[in-house]
Amino acid sequence: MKQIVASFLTVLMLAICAPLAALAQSGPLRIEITEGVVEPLPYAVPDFVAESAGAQQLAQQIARVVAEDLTGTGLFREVPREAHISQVTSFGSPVQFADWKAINAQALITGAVSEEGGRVVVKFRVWDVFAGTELGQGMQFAGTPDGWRRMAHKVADQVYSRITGESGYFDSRVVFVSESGPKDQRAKRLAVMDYDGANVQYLTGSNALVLAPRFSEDGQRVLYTSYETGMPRVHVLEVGTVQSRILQGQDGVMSFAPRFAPNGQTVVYSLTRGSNTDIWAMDIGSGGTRQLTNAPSIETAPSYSPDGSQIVFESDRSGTQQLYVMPAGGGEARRISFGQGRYSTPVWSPRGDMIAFTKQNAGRFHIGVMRTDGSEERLLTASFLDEGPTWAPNGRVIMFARETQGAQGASSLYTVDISGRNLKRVRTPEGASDPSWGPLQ
Amino acid sequence: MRLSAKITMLMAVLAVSACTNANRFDNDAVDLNAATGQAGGIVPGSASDPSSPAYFQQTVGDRVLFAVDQSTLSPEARATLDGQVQWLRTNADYNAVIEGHADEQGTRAYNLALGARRANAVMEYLIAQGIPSNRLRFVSYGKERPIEICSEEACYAKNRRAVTIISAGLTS
Amino acid sequence: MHTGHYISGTAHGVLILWALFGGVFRSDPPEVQVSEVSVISEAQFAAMMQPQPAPVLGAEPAALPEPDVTEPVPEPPVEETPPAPTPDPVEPEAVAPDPVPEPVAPLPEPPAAEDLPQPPAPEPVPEVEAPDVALRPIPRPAPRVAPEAVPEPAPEAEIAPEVQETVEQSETPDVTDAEEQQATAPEAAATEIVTEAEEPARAPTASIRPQTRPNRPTAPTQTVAAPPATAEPDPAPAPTPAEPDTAADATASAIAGALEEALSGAASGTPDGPPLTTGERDGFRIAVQECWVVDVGSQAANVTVTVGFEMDRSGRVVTSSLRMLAASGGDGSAAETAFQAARRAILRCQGDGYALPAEKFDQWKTVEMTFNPESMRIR
Repeated sequence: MKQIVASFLTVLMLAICAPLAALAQSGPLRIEITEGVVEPLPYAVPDFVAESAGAQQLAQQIARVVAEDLTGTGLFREVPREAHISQVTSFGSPVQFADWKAINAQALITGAVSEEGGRVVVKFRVWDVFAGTELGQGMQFAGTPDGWRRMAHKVADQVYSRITGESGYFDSRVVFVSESGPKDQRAKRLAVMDYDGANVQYLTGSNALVLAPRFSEDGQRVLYTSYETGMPRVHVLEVGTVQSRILQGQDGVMSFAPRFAPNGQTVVYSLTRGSNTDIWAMDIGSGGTRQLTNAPSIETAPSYSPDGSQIVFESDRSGTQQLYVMPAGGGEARRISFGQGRYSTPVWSPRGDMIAFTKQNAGRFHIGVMRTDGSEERLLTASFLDEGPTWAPNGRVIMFARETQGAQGASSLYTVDISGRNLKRVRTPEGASDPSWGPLQ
Repeated sequence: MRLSAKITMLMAVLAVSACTNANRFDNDAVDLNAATGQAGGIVPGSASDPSSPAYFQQTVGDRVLFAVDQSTLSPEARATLDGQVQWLRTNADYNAVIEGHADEQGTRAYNLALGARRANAVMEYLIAQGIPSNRLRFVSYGKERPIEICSEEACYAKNRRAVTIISAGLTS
Repeated sequence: MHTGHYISGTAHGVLILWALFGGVFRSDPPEVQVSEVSVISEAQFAAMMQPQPAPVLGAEPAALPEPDVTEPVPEPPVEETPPAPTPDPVEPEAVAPDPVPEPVAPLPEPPAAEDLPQPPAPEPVPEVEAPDVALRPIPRPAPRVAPEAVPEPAPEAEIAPEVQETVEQSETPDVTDAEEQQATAPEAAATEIVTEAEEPARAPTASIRPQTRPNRPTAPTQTVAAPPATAEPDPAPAPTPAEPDTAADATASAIAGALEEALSGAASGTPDGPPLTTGERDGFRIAVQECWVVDVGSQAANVTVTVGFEMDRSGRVVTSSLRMLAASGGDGSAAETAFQAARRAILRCQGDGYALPAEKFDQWKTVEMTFNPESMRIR
């Protein structure tokens, strides 16, 4: 009897399953891909077309800066111009996709430049070669001949964001400390430059020691520490007018390590009274201050989360420097770093999901990143002395200062992708330290 | 007090003029600047003038050193500071600024705070020994002002320091 | 009395059930693949790949009759008004000559500028017979991270064009430009991102399968079943690799494949032809993954995206059929970026068509491909 039931059930199941099985049989082929390659995407950028008599040189230069920007990310690889099969002689003519496919260029950037009466117009298009379509729409920028590099950066930012889906960072500036002279007599002055080291301009003289400039969120103001009065004090400088003033209301012996809140109104900084250094906040308009930490240890290097609700900072309250997060108004701090070594100079990423830091361990310095809860720590660099990370406006790249060892040691700026790849030096006219990356303009 | 200071001074002057050994009466002080110049006579303001800042710097010893990441005063440091106390008592019209420093092995902001700790440790010691606090103040330079530039412990050890800088009194 | 019937019925039931569920399991690709990928060691994988390198490499979509060149949608010359953010003069830098001293009215966001009419769609270009071989750029020692480690090519190997040609002629008579990629020494690659901060010891210098690669025969795979009956006559029919055991699959997968064929045949017996063998599926998968460029630092690297598409009988993708079926793990823009990367991988690696057995066309005319970057994400 049981057997009958069993066989009946079997038949029933067969009846039900058979159609399903047939269905599965004729359905789509399903494949899962879990391994890919990490490599730069090949692209081509032929010289832009000069659409007016004098624009030949600009057209070439702009295409070159676009290429430097893109290739410099490590995410793209330029197919050398010698390999190009077709020439782009007119901005409006159809793109010979087969020619670009043949050299394996996946993206193609075409552009044109005209100059008339001191006004330069740059237009461009981005093409998805293998799909044979345009990526986004044609666009153009206008400016003065002086501004050609910025226009090139803007083109590159557009290309970057159309291909990666994330915003670019090329048309941005970095404020930093320009250094000259030997180690024991080093002269320091504030300077600002394009993200790639071009167009350096000095913001202060070098008669007074200056340290750690920090851009405001809008890139219009810079906070920094100056010894102008003989004591380290926080100053604020208007980038537009290069006027600077000391922030009033600073109590204590010395104040340093300032940083703007995202609202641009509040400044957070370290204040030393006696042997103790704590973190304070000041309303930049009223000068009113508020103490955020109160511990006998050193609390310094505060940095706001992008939403302004939290502050990450370093403290040696546990015996060595470690990273902590507290509410922006002060209050209980939560330790987030637990690895070996000392952690310092935390900086919250503009995306809000990561914190970059300096780590000292076993006689080496590292720049690293971790999640905001301290998990997934990854070290990106290693050297005799790396310190002071700052985020590119899109949260993709970190710039920091690297000092070389020895009596001839000098400091210079480097960038590294947050994946740890593409470590590069930023060319500056002199030594450089304490970079702070401004917003995309 | 005053009297004893004057006697000390007088003896010192005599001793110096007699044998030109500037260190003779200052055996307690740890002179970190080993290359103290030997002066032939008392030139006011020179290192051989015991009331001069140069004498303070070179003979009394203007600096104390610290261990890595520490701001506690070693016995040697205390000895040096005792000498400084003596000198400051004697030369009451001088004030002092204590500069705190760190070696290059550390991040900038932390080293500023660490230098402040060191300078403050010295200042508190001087105050505890009776030097009026209104004659003293401190500042930190962190790792910005090394005196030795090699990247080895021999240099680092000399850079982890607090230096007492004497200046003509402005306060009363 | 009816014992015979019982026995017979039960036995048949079991048999059919087995056949059916065999079929059901087979059509559950993720499980098959997961075990495959995770269980196999790199050495085994290398060994398995040894006689069957082609799927990995038959990648380069050079100047071949492009399926997708087809019709770059001839958009009418719509006059777009491209936004033209003038480099904002917002910043009146007294600092120094700011790059953009043009103190025009601060245009907060791009004012409409002149039209950039869409250029006419390019006509399909008549195929030139592989002239690109010589023009192919020499691979730069660009940083690359791939599933398999590839050593820095020997200096000579880097001079791509020439070497390439000889290799092709001697080894792959069926040539076609699609093969050139492999001949030009594969770009050096590491199996993982090595940052400066990591111990040198962890750098993947020791790779198990270096030199052999450029030397391996490069015949297309899938010779097991039948030569790809591509529609267009090949210049030369693809020769099966010299080895008799062309069964590219490792024994295990061969058995599995045979089993599947048997099973599915028993189950349906439809004219669809037998299902793809594990080796055939792997060949397809590997061909695409060679072109799947993952930007590990991007938000898109958190997105798993499923792309659906149709194929024609020659193994080429119907470009217009590519569409995103599902995405998880990121916002819309990250998902779109992930989709674009997947789309590029599928299109770029098809070359002259993916090497899939023509007689099983019904099995692969519709494909759903899931790109899961989980294992590649930066850790």
